[in-house]
Amino acid sequence: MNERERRDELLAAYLDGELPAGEAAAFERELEQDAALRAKLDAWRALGRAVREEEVPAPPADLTERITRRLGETPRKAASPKRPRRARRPWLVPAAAAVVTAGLLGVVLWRAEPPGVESVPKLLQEETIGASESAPPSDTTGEDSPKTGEIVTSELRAESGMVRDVPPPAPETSAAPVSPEAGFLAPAEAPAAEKKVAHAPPSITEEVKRELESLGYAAEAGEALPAQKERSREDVAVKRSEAELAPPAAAAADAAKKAKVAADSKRAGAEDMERRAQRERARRSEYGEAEERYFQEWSVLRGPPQDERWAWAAREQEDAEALLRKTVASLDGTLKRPVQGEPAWVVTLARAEDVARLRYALSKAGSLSMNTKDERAKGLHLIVRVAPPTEE
Amino acid sequence: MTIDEATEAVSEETLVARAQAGDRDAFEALVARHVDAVWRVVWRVLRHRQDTEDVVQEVFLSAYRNLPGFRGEAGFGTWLHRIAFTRALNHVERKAEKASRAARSLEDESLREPQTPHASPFEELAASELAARVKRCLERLPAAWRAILTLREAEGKPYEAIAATLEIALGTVRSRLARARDALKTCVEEEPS
Repeated sequence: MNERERRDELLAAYLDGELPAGEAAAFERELEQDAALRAKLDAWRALGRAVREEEVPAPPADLTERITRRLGETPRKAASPKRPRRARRPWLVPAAAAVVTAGLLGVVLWRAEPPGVESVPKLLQEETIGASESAPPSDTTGEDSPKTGEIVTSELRAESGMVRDVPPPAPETSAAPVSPEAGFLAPAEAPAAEKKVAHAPPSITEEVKRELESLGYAAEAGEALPAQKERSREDVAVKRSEAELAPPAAAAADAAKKAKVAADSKRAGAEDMERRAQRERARRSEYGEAEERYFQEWSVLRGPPQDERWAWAAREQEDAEALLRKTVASLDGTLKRPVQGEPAWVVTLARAEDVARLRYALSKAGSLSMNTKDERAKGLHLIVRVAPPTEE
Repeated sequence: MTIDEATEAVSEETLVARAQAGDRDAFEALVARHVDAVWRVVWRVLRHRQDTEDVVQEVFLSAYRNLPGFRGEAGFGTWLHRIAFTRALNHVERKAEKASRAARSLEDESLREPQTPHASPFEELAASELAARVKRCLERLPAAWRAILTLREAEGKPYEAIAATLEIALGTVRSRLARARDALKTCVEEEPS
């Protein structure tokens, strides 16, 4: 949401008496200082009156009769419990679920490439590997918290769909199936050894956690990052080895017990995942999907010819890029665009804590948030990599 | 006391209960009570007489079909409103109004920041001129925006009721209203006299 949208929303709520007293008083002070805002308030009031007073034609005199005549031919349903709402676009449901699932796992998404365009993930893989080679050897283990030289990919703004992690690139030999949903490539399950090199797992330090919390990302900070999940998988593997070394009878009982615990945990995890996916679907269908549709509809209605309808989106994207450049420069980072024409950038930062700073800056950026509206059309993917700035 | 007056005196809950039990007369009385209100909101969204007639009939037939499942969590009128808005908006989608309206496109002004803040010209417009412009512009807004303007401006519903009727989040009510008002304002300002 940019500044203009924020003020418009406040103005709407103020006009309708839907702002809490404290916020209303603060907004009144804003109004006092802004003549344009006051003019808009007056205009909205006048328009509201005009809408209210608009003459509505009377219904036909026989409308009630026509309705009641048709009641006889209308079968009635038996009383039944309320069914959940049908998704307006059923094809979006698996897509949303895929996005949510990937987001929750801290996995990386990438937009499907149009035919003929070289795969961005592939290029990024080269970049990432290159960086990890240039990093100190200890960093390639990926066991420690991020520090200078370690690679961290971070989802900057999952909520807005603005910025996404880079997928751990699949080795070329692995013909990993591509998820057809939503035009995203599902991350391939790379072999563990290759993963460690190509995608040194990120972890979160207390420092970064505190930073995130101080910036209002407490929930995200508390959420397990891929590295932590990776470690927990390793823990499971270690425990399994211990079980294998135990005496056969005890091992069998232990294995049965663990299998039950694992099954329960899996089921609980799946349920939790489904609940979160449902919430996300609801959010998307309510805001993401419907709002964007209306907004785009309006932009199409008011826009120039059909093929230029995204011209304004391109303008926004230019703004977004300018802001991104400025922000990254202020953090002594570097910015690369791996594929010309593809709206994706690789951001390289020198310090892990700058991930949070960049995230914060971008979340406050009106132009970037505006740009997310057209993500489906244009796409804007940011990859943050914490590594020493390359000497060029 | 006439039959009409007698029907009027019966409470809505009673009529609904009787209609749910299969009493068609009771449902007809409910139709008579609500037909004008439903007509008004559907017309405001569709702005087309024949379409409004069709949709209003659909609304009541749908209510009749689904009445056994109506649990009275909201009032009958609120429930009807919800059906009315849903049906009206679905009707717009079915008619692919978007495509036909795109042909009557306007300049892409609402998406640009105004270069210089300027006073609203609305005070200078005669009421009849403003009404005429608003009418023309409402026809060009997306139906969902007309729906929310109808609920807020014409029906005076609080945000919570709007959210329940349109089945959207409270935050969406606020943002959608802001966008709809802004678009309407831009359109009215640009609309030739």
